[in-house]
Amino acid sequence: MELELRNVTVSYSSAEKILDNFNLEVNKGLFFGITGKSGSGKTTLLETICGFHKPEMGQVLFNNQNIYEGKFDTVSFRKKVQMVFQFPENQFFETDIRKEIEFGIKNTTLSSEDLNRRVTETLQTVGLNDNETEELSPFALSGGQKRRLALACALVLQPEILLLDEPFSGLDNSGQNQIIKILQNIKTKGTTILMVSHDPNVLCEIADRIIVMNDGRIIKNEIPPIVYSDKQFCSQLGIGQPDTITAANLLDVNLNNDFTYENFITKLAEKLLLKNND
Amino acid sequence: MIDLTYQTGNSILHRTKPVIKFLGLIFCSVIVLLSKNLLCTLISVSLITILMVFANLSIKEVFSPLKKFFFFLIMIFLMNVLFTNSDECLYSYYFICISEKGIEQGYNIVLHTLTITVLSSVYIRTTTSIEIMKGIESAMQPLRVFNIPTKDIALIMSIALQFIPVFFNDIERIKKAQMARGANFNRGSFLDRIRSVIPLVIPAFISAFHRADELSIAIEARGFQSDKENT
Ligand SMILES: Nc1ncnc2c1ncn2[C@@H]1O[C@H](COP(=O)(O)OP(=O)(O)OP(=O)(O)O)[C@@H](O)[C@H]1O
Ligand SMILES: [Mg+2]
Repeated sequence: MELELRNVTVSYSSAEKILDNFNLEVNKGLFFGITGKSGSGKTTLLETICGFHKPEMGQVLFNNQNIYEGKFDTVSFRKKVQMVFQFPENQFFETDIRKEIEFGIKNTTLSSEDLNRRVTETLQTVGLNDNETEELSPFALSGGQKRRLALACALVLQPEILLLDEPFSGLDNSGQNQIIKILQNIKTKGTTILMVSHDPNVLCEIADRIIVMNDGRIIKNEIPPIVYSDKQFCSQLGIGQPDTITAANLLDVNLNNDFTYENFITKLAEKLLLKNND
Repeated sequence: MIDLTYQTGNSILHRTKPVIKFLGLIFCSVIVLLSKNLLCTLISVSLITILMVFANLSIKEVFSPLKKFFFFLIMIFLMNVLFTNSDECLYSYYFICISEKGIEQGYNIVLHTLTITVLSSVYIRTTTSIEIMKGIESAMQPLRVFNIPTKDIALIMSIALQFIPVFFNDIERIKKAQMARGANFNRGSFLDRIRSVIPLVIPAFISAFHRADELSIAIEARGFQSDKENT
């Protein structure tokens, strides 16, 4: 088990429990989508995994070591577990993009050649590698580019676990698609990803498992088809359903738990053909 | 910092008129500042008790904003105790002289700061920004006679009151984000430490300017007119 939360209870100053006896096991290389109503504790969950909220009770284990224990090596942990916060563009401060990305790895033992190569690779991964863009100040980028730069700042450390808090909020469709492509790419390299999102279409497309949260607890931890096929459950918890399911329900098409657009179109075509043959 | 922003509720204090609350705050603060020692202790304890009942707050909630001041208060106390000059030292060591006068002075200053902080925090927690503004404005109404732009002053004061916790919240958030990126705020030489605040300070300023910008647009959009334009 790469990451494990055991009976974790977290609260801010008041008595209200933001995470309530929370249990989660995360295997290496999986993509977890985290969804749930506003205020259900998703951001707090990511921050707790990242080491920012010491639980009142319970443990957060990274490779079987409690990350909140006194002797735990937080500095190297921070390099292995990277979090991209919501609206990460608020955190830039360097004069150019390369420097911004270098910030996280400056203190490692890499030689300056290796460091440069790393930065270049990362710029390629996020598609900011053309000469013109590289010259720009982080503040001169467009919204979508800023978001990709923030992602690059995390990826340059080659983290084992990547935590993403609503990486699509405020992005247009093409910005969103670019990020999705990047995420699919890093997933194939074996990075474990936990992503908070409200978009059932995206989650269905890229997540291996969906975690549905409500009032600081896990209500469901399942593969996407099982979570999203229950209409009543989805509307009760305010998590929505993928467009394909909604359309399939309207047209009375049976998707057999495969919610991709391809499958939807195929099934729809089959149905229409059957109708014509009658 | 959540303790220093408005908290919805329906206690008597929430429902009291904003002017009365504001004048009450000023009045109580003056009384506390004018009294000393036992009298001040009695006044402070009773004021805080009354507040707890009226605002429906627990002891923990009343004192929670002080957590961030705690170190500061202890420092004030120690400075007074250790460095107040007096002829009668209870204990002396080189230039340090612990005297009754110093202890008394330290005690009073700490008591004053503590009580006024608690009073103000309860005020902020039970009054929305709009009410704060209205309260200050009505309380200053008499000053209009002297052609003082009370409305603008009220707006500025209420923005400042609301802005401080927001600003601290921003810094807290940025600090987390930079730490997640591998920033280290408590390591290395003196120069390293100074340099390490750059990732904090620049984004904090940018976000503060951003907020100020948005705020000024919002204020205008909501139809605020300053005193000058009114006349
Ligand atoms: N710094 C803080 N201090 C006190 N309470 C907080 C703080 N941050 C969040 N909370 C509270 O914790 C609860 C969970 O917040 P959290 O941000 O984890 O929710 P979320 O699921 O990420 O919501 P959203 O979808 O809106 O981002 C909320 O009720 C919120 O008011
Ligand atoms: Mg959130």
